[in-house]
Amino acid sequence: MKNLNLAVELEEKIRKQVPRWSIPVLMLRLAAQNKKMRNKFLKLVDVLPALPNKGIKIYFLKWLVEKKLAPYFIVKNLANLENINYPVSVDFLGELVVSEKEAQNFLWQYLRFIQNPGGESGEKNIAIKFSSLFPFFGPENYEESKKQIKNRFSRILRTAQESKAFITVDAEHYQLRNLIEEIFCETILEPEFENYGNVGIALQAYLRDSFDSAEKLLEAAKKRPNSFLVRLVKGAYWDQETASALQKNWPVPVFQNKKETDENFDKLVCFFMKNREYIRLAPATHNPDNIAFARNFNKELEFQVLYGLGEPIRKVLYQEKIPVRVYTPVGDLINGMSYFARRILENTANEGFLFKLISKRRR
Amino acid sequence: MAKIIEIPEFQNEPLLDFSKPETREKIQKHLKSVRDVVLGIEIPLLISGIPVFTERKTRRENPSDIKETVGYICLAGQKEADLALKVLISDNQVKEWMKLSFEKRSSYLKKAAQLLRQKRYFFIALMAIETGKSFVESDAEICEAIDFLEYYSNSTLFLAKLNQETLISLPGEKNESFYIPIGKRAIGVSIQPWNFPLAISIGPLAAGLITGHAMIYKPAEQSSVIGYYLAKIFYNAGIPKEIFHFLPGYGEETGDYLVNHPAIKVIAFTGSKEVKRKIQNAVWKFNLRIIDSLPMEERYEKRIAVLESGGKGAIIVDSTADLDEAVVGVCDSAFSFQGQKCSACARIIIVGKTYEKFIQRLKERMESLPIGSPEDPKNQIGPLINKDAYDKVLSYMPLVEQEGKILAYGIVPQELKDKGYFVPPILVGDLSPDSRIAQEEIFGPLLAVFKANTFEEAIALVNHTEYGLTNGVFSRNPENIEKAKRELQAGNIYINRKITGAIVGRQPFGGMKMSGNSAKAGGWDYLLNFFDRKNICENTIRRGTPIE
Repeated sequence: MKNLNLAVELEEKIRKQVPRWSIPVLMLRLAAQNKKMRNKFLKLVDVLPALPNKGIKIYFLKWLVEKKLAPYFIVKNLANLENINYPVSVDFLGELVVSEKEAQNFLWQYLRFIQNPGGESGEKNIAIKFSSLFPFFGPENYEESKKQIKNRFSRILRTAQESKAFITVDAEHYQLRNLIEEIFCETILEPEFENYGNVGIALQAYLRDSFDSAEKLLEAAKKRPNSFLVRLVKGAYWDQETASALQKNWPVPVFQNKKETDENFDKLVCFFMKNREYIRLAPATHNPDNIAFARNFNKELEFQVLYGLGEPIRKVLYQEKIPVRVYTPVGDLINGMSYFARRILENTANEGFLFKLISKRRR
Repeated sequence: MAKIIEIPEFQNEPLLDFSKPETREKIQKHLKSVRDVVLGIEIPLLISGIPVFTERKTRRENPSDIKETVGYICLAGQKEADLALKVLISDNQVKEWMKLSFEKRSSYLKKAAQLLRQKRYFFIALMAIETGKSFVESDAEICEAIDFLEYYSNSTLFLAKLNQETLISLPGEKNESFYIPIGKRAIGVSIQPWNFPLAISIGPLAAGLITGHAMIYKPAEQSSVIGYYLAKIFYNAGIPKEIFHFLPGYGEETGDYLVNHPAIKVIAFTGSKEVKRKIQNAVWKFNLRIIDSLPMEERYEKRIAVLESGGKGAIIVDSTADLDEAVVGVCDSAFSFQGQKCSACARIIIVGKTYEKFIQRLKERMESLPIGSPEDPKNQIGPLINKDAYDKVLSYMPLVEQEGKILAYGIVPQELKDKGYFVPPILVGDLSPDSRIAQEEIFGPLLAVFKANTFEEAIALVNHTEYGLTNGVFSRNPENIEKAKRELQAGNIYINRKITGAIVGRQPFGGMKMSGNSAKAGGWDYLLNFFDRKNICENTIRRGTPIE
């Protein structure tokens, strides 16, 4: 009962926070009208940065997307981060890493950020993607991928330990999941890192076999003298995973409707709460039902929302004194295109709490 | 009232999941067992399923490790070919096979598919060792081979139905149409290459068999061990042994003899432009002169059912391209299997100001590609198939200096230089569109890059080749994409993805111009190339009454 009341209360307050007349919200609402509009919008946004500045129409659209829409989702550079005064987890946007040189550049970007003492108060908190550390990262190249990433992840952790920076390993495409988890578990169990608590990994609740991951992570956690963090997310690659599986004639790895994902999310929360002496949980969700459910177990849980889109939720959680951190992508629009496109997809699909927030319909 | 015919459902064979440890372990296990059991022995001919050894043999080496012998391949000469032909000309099974229903013949193909599924890991291991192909590529090829077997089974039944149902039928007149194999005794030969030793061999064989022909299979000498086990699969699927013969040997010798032989009515060939011309010449000569000396009943003209003779694929990258996708797509298309694919990308045309950035990123990726044996999955570039290929690619190096400029190249590790036929990936620029490097099919990891000022100019550059197999475009400009779809002269065009890896039933594969006769492998109508057709009209009116 208490649960339901909190959920309803949160939703009411969040709704009040949504900026009714902001340009991004209006644009998203336009795109959300039907599948055709949404595809048109996506295509336009995708190609816009590459179009030459010919004609007033293109110029205006570019200005609209780059100057008004993108900043709603992405922080342009590290300097702008300093204007933010709430806890963040920084995600470095970038091009796909296609060469050794680009992998090295990414590694140095992570290391530099961790080592740099400047700016914000509090510990540095970054989300890293293993695929950005090696150009041929993948299960077809299993052993070499493991070797290279363990080496580079270790360097990052070593540097992080010196300044107590928090490193979370992002979840990526399903095909990479086993590889990412294996590398993570083996590295954080090494004597050099087994006591370091400021390390974590993301787990996607939209995967049908997400409990396999949960069990694997728990097994590793039990062997470790200090706990690590699991950032529980719903999952960001739904359309891609479905299409990819169908093309390969493999079983589709994700739940087919949002309700199943939301329920699985709660089940996983229960699982991690049962095992809280080994793993710390950080639920990342915008849905007040999921937030209320988790909050009920433990008042100390730190939630997580996305930058921009999650701002109404962040404000409300802050007011309610519920700990919350903001996943903040940093980079220019061109590098952030796929991130951007996925957010548009998620928020213009017919399901999802944020879509409900944006659309005119009331609950 | 309109008739409705059902199009049979088809699902492609799923690839292996390399993220599962069992997959990787099984491959390692089979590499070992193939070495222990299969390597180093003599590979016989199979005539009516019976092994026949010849004195003349050729040694097949592992291209990643020349000292290792994969097998000693017996070579079929005229004498051995005659043994097979004698069976084909006289044995009753050849005629019986022609009379079987499509359903019955397709059951053998499906059985072969099942056997191939069971031998998946075996072939992955063998292909790595005999042809230097990576596990991922080999797996994709095995799926393609299984697909051919299943898909052509479905297609034949569908075609037969379509053929009959499209006839207009009226009372008193019974119209029938039958697809039949070619010849009084339907006999075909399939001469196939080493670069897709399983799939490109199985496709035409499956097509020839299911359409009712007895088939002789002449594999490339660089992949005859694989060919042998492939032949065994057909025999083990239960086809009558007399209708299928495995004759490895040199193309100039065995292939040539068979192509010219009067008993052979159907030819399926994939290979170089030069050999294609020899075959076309032989067929023409036969049909124009030699055929007149045959008995009347046997004057079926020789037919080249399927012909695939190379490509010089090009990819356009314009200023709206997603560079991440374009760099990786071009790299995959140009260097997977060391560029030894007819569908490979041999030329890139970059439009506008993206040139600098694209070349920079491509260069860096090329320099990052590890080179070595495919048995270690970390290697992205394996060896070339044999000494001839190695010499051929190297012979272009002086030309590179003359005609253009090297923009990027990988480095072959010192310890591999004499161990196998390894050459690094090379990017060449500043070429004239008419230079030899821009025009000739090199069949190696040599990539030429051109600049264009406009998209139209790029299209013209792409089409400025005698080949017409695969082309591609990386662009997000809908107008450019439409233009490309309409104007590119190629049988298989790809937008915003790599230009290799055509999948059965999804991208029927075959080219125009000098690349072939447009027979589409993996297309529903491929089998039509292997058929003659009988149309029969029967008057069913007796005493003024139609009797149906």
